[in-house]
Amino acid sequence: MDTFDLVRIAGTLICLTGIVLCWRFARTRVGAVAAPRLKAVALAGFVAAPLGALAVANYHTFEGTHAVDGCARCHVMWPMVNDLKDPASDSLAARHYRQAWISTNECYGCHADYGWRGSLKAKMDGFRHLSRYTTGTYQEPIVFRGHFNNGNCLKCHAGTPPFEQVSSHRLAARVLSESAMSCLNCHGDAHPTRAQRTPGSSAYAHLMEKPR
Amino acid sequence: MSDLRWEPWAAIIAFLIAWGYTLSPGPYWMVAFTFVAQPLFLMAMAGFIIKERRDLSGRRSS
Amino acid sequence: MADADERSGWPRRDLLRLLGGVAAANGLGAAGWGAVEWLVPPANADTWHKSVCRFCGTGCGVMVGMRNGRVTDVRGDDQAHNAGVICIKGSMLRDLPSIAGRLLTPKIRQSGRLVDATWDEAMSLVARRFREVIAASGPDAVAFYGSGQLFTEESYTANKLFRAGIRTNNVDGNPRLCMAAAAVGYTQVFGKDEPSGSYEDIDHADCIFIIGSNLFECHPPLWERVERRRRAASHVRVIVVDPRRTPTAERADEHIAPVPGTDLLLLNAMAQVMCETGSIDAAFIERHVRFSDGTDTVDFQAFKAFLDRYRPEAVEATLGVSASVIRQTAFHFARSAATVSLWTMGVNHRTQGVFLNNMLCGLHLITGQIGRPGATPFSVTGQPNACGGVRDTGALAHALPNGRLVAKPQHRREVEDLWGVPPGTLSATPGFDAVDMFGAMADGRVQAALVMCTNPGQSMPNADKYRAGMERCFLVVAEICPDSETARYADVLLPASMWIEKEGVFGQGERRYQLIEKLLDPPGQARSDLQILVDLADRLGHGALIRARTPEAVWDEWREMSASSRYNFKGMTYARLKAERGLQWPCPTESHPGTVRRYVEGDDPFVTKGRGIEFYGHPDKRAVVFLRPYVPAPEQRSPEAPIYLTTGRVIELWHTNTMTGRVNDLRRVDTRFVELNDVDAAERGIVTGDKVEVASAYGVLRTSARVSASVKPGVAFAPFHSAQLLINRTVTDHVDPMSKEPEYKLTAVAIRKVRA
Repeated sequence: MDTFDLVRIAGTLICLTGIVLCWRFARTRVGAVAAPRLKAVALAGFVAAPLGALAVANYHTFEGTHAVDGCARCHVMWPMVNDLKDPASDSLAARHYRQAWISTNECYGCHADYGWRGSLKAKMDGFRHLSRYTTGTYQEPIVFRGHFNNGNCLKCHAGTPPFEQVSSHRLAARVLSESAMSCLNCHGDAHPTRAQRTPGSSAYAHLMEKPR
Repeated sequence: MSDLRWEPWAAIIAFLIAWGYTLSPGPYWMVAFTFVAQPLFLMAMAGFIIKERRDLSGRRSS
Repeated sequence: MADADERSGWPRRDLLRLLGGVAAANGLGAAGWGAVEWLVPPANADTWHKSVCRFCGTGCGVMVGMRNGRVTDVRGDDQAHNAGVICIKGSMLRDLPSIAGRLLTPKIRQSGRLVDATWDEAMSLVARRFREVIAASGPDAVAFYGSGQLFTEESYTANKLFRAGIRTNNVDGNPRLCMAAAAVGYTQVFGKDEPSGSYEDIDHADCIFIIGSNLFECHPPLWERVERRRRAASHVRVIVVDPRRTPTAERADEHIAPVPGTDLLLLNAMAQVMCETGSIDAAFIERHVRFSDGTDTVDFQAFKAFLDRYRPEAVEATLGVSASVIRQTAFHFARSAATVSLWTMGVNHRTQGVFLNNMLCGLHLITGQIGRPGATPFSVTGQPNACGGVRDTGALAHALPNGRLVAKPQHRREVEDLWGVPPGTLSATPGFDAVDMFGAMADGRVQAALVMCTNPGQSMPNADKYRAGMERCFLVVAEICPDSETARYADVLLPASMWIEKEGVFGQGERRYQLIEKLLDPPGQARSDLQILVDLADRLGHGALIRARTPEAVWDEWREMSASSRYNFKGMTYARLKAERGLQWPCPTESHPGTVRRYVEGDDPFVTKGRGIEFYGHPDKRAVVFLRPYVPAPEQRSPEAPIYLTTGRVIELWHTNTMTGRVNDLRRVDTRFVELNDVDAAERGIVTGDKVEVASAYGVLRTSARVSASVKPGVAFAPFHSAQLLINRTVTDHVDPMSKEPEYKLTAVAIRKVRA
């Protein structure tokens, strides 16, 4: 049983309890002077249970969105997720995933910039993605807005011997750290290309299968 | 604690949405939870607390 | 009112409050959405444009990002053959249009100094001098020295102007210094120049045999493609043959380091092993191969007999590679499901360059490792347009367009017809190749020359000798900067535009022609080399000959002409090139998708139906395997000069560094050094950083030492990028007698520490 299952169970218990408790008050008007036990029920139904429900449900919003499965809930992400898990893919994402170079929350690991500012930015990006997706105000193939922060690569790779031994890395340290030059220039695509993710392309149908 | 008319319904609707969200945290449930359930919860809680305080102060004064 | 409230339980007031609350939350959400949309940091560019890298012969597709009319970013084009991968030089293309120190106005040399002039003044002077020289000494007293970095339209026009207008075959270029061996080698074997395979063959190979190539540094995206293949299939074997332990060799499954100059022994020995062990494809040989000793056709038995002297045990001492390694290598090459060979300057920069090219193809032919996915002999090209612009247009002294030869009367007639000039217009005398051309400048046989888009003042071997020729000659130089090593000898210096400042086609190493569209105006008064040539043609009275005056018009004329040959790319209109990520020729019609593998039925439109594989370049439809004897290089180590100097490149810099040396993030790379082995260094009391003198029969220079185990004892390495080092001062100008390509890779030198 993992956290996700716990959340489901707790959420079910809390919400059902809350519904039952609130139903009591929905069906019957209560007088101004109520028994202490009724007050306790009211407190549970209108304060405790909602707080509990808020806490449990917001787990998905704040933690669940970090997981690969969280990204996979929007179908426009399916090409990325399918490619990520494809043992034959040579994309950077697939190679990192296959080799377990990032132990968990693999999407978040590369897409959340470092530190609290990075987490905040990730939340803002997530909010923007949610807004666009649910209102249908996006076009396929989806395109990365802004430019990718190389810090997401450098936070793991910089300083390691294999990285430092490459003369071009030392030479390009400034442009790399400023993200003026993308690491992907030399190291290839991270994800399936825009052409592959365009509806009608030969790869589209396969990439758009629901991830297992 | 009197006059709890809409607060229970608001809370029930919010609980239903929250329940759905915890079971299936997709984008549409997320929007419904964040922008409908959460306000409803907050308003139900606020409504209950305000009315309860009014009742308590009313009894003390009476 | 209270009764109604009690009955309904939902006072309107409360309902409105509820809805209002939800609406307010949604309003906040919408406002938040607006805020995050606005807060997303902008991309580096507003518009993106398809283009091609300016640098090496890999010919990567790039996307050029622009904002407010300036280039702000360059990324790899993930729809091009390179799948979005470029290298650090390609990434720095973003700074190329804005490099400082560009030549902005024409200049004329007066009293030893270059002074500003107008275009009319400069071109009038050029035309006048050319006319005077031609009148006094004949058309062969003038010359054109072009470049594998000019657009095809430019090389084609220069070729036509000089051969059919001025009527000299003194048309040559810097591909003579890099690809001539491959061009001659392929033509001898297949009857036609250019690789028959594609980069895609790397994706299917099981054995990748890399010889004389530092792919990691010199063609990085091709190396990445090799790595991609290795990741996809763990059994793939990469064998690297190089006297140096380059970054490529370090990453190989097997690194073979022969004594410099002896690698034909390796190839012949491999062939001997293959024949002896029966690791050949007898049926393929029977159907598709003819053997030749260079003069006469011989049979397979003669080939085997010839190879007897190259048994591994007989060559291992000279070669410096053990017999067992030779046998293993032969085994892997022959027996792998598919073998690709990749080679470049280590093979071409040799007095036996043609023979090496012949034999590399020969190994593929006798084993049947050709004509199917993953199996091909692939000569990798150095410059971005050596293939399309110079080899294919025939802008070499011995050649004519579409694989024709000056020496053949029939070929001259064909070209005269195609160019619409009277029979006899084209001279029957092959012109001066690069080394001879600059030698002819030195002794006065060539008195005026136009040099475009290249820097022979730094790139010619035995540099001082040929720089003297440039000094003596009336030299017209079209360049982007005023201070190149060639510009210092210019009598007239013309500001040229570069890369996306003009429009034209680059033809890279896998027969892919790609269009570079004009995205910027050139700085100052710079003009495209095509504009300069058209102007010169008009002033020399050949305006009627040069009918095509815009890039697209020249291209259309040239592709129509190509339809007369098997280098047919008539189907590649500019419109198609704009829409596609390049097309590979043959491509005879506008509906033809291009040819991935030549000589293969179903792919190459010129293969006779039912033949499967057909080497249609020769009349007998067979490819030729040559019996090529190993001849030791003219430069041999001696007690006085005990070290072999070899020259090459580093990943960050391009050629003579006139462009990369002006890019801020690249200029810091210091290549003023000679690398020598730690044993040799210890014997001489040299440590890294010491000042050393490098002396050969050709010149002496001083530079810094770098001690490294990546070169073997008795071998030294120096990059040729630095104008201050100018290593070519010490490099031999011995040439391959067939290709006339110099042997940059092998000069006997003495290195000693210089006391401070």
